[in-house]
Amino acid sequence: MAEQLVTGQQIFETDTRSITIDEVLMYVVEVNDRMAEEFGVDLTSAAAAAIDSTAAATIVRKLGLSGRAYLKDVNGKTYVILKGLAGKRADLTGTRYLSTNPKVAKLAIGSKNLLKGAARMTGIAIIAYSGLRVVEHLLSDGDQRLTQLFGTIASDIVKFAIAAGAGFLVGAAVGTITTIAAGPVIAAVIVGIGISILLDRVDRKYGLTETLVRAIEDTVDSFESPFRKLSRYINAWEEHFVQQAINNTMRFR
Amino acid sequence: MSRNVSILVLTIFALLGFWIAFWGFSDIRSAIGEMQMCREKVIFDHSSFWFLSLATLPLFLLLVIVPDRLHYVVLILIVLAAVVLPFAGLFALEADADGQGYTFAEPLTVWALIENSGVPANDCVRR
Repeated sequence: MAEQLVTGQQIFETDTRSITIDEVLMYVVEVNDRMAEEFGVDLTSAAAAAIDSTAAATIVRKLGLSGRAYLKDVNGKTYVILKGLAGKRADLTGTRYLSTNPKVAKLAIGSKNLLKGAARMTGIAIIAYSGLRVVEHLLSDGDQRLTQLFGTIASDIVKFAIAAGAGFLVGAAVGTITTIAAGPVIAAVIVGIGISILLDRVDRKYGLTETLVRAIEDTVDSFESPFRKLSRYINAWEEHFVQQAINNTMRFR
Repeated sequence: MSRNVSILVLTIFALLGFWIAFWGFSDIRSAIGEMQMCREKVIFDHSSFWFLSLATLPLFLLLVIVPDRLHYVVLILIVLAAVVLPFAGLFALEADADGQGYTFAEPLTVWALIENSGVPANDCVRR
């Protein structure tokens, strides 16, 4: 039997139905759009807020709300020093752990870990926003320009990075003045979410994304004009040479 | 980050927090004012509720002056205030909207960061 090769179509088979990858992508974009429309928060921002809040909750669960911890460098190795009564802690019964120890490695303690977390979340946001916007662009019915796509992605990423940066700054500042382990993460979450809501409102009120898209379009158009002029010259030359060739052929007949 | 730089950063964000919270507060106050005047259409952005949460940013400066053993109390206070303030704003606005018989296009809630608009009932009385 001859094999039928089908390209560009990936199908997920379940017991009851089969779904194409296009449908899955459409579904994700639709969920994102519905969330943005109804709650004003898109999928990426919601996921980021949930991940940050989970980090804060993990610290509180493992060390308690009044649990104290700080990082200390000894002989080139970084240790997480836990203060307070060890017996009150369920998992972390010791008082000193190497920072790479799996028991404490995932706890966001210290400004370095906060920075790492903010950078990682921004990286995830770049991928998520780009993916979502590209799929939205590809599946949209309207004739959207690429500049619209780039402008929207740039705006989303810049807003996210500003919120994450502000969260990190305040988190690191709080980490300097208190040894309460959950303090910096709580500060980072409150500021991150707050600044994100503020930027979203400012964007909606003053149309920053639209302004950015227009600016990119104007820049691209100003680049486009000389190229169009050049292509007109090339066309004219081409026509001239073709005409000359025809004339020469006619003359030698 | 040194202690002085940390205090400077927290002071800057405290001022920013004040300003954003004031923005949210004045939005809610002007919406309530418009409803009391029975304006034909009241436009309100739900994000103003969450702006009130940022009034907690100045509280982080308390960590500088409060003794170390009480820092967890300050943090509990901050988290509680950050959660309670938006709901307080919602209840204040909702109470007035109900009192004046305003109907909003979308239900008033803290969980949607959208622009909403409300129209008064026919028997709306100016206060």
